[in-house]
Amino acid sequence: MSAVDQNASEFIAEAQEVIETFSRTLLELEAQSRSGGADPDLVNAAFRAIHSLKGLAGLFGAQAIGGLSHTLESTLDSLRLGKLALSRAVLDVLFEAIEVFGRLLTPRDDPDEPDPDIEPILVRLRALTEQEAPDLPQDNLEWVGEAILSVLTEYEEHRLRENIRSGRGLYRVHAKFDILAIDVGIEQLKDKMKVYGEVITYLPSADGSSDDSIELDILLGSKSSLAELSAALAVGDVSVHRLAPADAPSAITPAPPRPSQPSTPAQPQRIASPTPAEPRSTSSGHNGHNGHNGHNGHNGHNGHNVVAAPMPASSRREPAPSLLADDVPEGAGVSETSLRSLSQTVRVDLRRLDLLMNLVGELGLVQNNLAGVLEHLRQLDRSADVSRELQVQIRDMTRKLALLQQGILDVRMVPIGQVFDKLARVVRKLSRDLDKDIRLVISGAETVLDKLIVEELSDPLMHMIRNCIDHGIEAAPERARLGKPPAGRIELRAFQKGNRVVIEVEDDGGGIDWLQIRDMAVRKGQVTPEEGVSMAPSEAVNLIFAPGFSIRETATEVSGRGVGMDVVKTNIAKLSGMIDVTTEVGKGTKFSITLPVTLAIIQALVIQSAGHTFCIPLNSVLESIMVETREISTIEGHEVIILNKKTLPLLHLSRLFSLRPLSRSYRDPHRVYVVVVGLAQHRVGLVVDELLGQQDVVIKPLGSAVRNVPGIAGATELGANRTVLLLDVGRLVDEGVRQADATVSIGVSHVR
Amino acid sequence: MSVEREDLWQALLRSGETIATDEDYEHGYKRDVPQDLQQYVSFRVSGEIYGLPIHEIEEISKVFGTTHVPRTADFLVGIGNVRGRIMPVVDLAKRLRLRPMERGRAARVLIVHLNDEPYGLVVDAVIDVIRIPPDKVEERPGGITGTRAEYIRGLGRRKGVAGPGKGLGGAEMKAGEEPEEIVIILNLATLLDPKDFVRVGPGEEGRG
Repeated sequence: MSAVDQNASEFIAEAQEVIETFSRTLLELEAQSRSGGADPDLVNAAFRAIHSLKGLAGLFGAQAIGGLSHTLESTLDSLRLGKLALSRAVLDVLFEAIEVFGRLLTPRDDPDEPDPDIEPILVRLRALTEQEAPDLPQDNLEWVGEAILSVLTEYEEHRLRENIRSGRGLYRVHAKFDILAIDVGIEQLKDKMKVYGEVITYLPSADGSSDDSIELDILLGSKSSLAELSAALAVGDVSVHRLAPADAPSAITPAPPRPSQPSTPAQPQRIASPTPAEPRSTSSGHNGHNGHNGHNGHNGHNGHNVVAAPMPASSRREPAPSLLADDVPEGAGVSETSLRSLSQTVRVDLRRLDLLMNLVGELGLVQNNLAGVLEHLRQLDRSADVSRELQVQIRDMTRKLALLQQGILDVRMVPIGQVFDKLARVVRKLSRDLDKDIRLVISGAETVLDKLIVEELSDPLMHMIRNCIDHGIEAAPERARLGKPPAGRIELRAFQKGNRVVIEVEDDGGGIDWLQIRDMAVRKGQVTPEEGVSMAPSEAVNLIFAPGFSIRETATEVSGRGVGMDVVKTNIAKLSGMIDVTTEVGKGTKFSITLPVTLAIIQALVIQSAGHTFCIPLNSVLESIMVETREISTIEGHEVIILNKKTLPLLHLSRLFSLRPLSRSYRDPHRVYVVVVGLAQHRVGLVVDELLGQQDVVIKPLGSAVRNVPGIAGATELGANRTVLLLDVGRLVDEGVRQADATVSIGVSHVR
Repeated sequence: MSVEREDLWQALLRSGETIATDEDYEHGYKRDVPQDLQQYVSFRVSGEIYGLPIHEIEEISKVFGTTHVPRTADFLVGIGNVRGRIMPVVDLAKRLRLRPMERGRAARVLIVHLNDEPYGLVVDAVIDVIRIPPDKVEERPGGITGTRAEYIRGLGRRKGVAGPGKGLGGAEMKAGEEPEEIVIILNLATLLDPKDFVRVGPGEEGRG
């Protein structure tokens, strides 16, 4: 990769990150604006994101992106200054801007191809700013005090006016912090204050800031009374004072000095000493702390919001104050663009990680070999000391190796929120397109999964969400008739369950009518009428996973033509995942996807059949049982057992694979081992000779020659250069089901 | 001058060691062979002599253990693992539908690469490295017909005195004890066509 390419890809990655943040913030804002006022902090966060993007684009000479972010920045500035109201129309344009950014950032094959035209979106953005609300008559703010007014940014001043206009009282909270504990102190104070109102700004106090303490004045807008605030906040070194116009009752002189600190004259001087025109650079030290504080406070806020999909507070920004000067919510640092990278992450090509992973796997083999050598040494009496020492070293190495492996695995992990964010945009767009009001409720966005899995998940989830909106959720009049709330609800949940991750997509729509599905399948000839009659509801519902199935007679633009759920199933199965559907007519449908956390290293069950050793991914193994041969019954030539009151078709691995017996292993003629495997919505029992145990294995891809062998998913090494095949459970289950389908209606009743 | 012996290579090959040198490892096996001096590794399969361009061969290894892969063509011995790399290992005699011969200690696995993926080819013995100028390779194997023809890229000749009218020009040849032999130069792309590896038919007839 040339230096230019490297730069370009770095820029793209960073820009995408910023845009994702922006998009998340917008979604959150939209949710808030529906339920009342939008949090000014969020508007400001959106503004800051685009501001950073502008700086970034400038650095990398990305003109189109720079141009768009410049215009967008103006729009957002108007928003945060209250000159523009956050209407649905405005949000539409903002979301459209995200799409345009997406197009601009998509690499083009032909470098000469011109950038997509950004003029239309620019025009729309400018149109927004032109219809800005006329400036409201400005209240006289002189009573606040020149000392304070002179250091407020335009944004802060706007927030100050907003607070006064909304009838809030203005308070000056004076606090003194130990210099070592200021981070924590401010944070705690801010959390407390947030309950009562809005923090407008932080002002450095001139009062005797000694070497080991820092004093701050915090401007707070609140509806609470002075007494309430004092009771809540004035603990230790914190005191609360009310600021009010002279004619107001309970007036207190602006910025009264605290009696205990007589250095009043110094205060305005110190505050105003830097050029008033550039108040932002006033107090980078203090603001640095504030910035950190504001950032965390903001994150905390995100964390509790169910609608947006916040990334976990990652290590992207270390709380080092000096690094945060331009991250100050109050608008400080806005005029400067830092050369620093905006995030502290390193982007690594997944292939490089795979390489490292392979090396670790190789090291594991070396370690196994060492253990072999140790075993050998032990048998020689003379070297008892040496072997003991070697054993200690090997144990140490094993531990470190495991840590290294885990470390590399962790690097691959990303929060699923990345996909959820994209889905939130899809929901928004589709609900607008189809004119259905839909609330998307997201939880568990911080659940981490292998990057590869997260990438592969976005398409299946998109399909499912589309289905929910198009087929699931009824139109508003219909919902009203059924007595449901007018807005449809889709819940997107992710949570960890053991070493798997469960993702659920649940809607409160019409549910799946199994009779309708069954009749449709019969009409399309996918099942015979006889099969249809004897079909259980659960089986019928599972027909939605059959290739080419679609509930709608005519394809809509949204859901396409019946290439939905079978693709979803295939994709999930490819990730060694399972999908279950539960549905109730009239109430809604829930899809649950169960996935392994990672694919690179998996836990495998090692089994033997006719002397051949195979691995089965443990995440598709439901249980392993020993079965007496007399428990096996035959239905039209196919062996089945009854397990948990359900019929479980059996597959003999040795027959399935036509295995030539390799060794004369002893087999108990009265018992067999059955490994119950499940993938997607089916369960099958694999009959094997022996269970050799569980092991973590590194999956190695098979070359193109062997890749397409049905039933084989990959290979792995089990010590001493022994190569062992990994079974493709999805495929085997499919074969088992197809085989069984011909005669037996298998009892898969995961559909309630 | 059409055929030349490469004593160094030969010595290496006979010893059963790998052809690849340390330098090759460092350079990722990317060996430039001048067009006019094409080198071929010649080897014996079921009594016939075959050749592959030397740059297609990464390494010559002693026979190693493989794992049987079900549902694959019978010419696939299995998959093997050479220094952490998984590769399919093909029995060339079966692939070329020759009468299989008992393999002795001279049997080797040629590790070749096709489309950046390694494959192992089991041969009865490796003979030596020969040079055949491109214009001395018969492009079309006239006499050979049937399915085998598609695996053959051309015919060269090694050792022995070229008789007049043999089509290889009558230039000076080193006299050898053996008569001149035909070297069948294989075409890896067709020989290792992925679609031939998977045994077709979902019915899965038993074979064991």
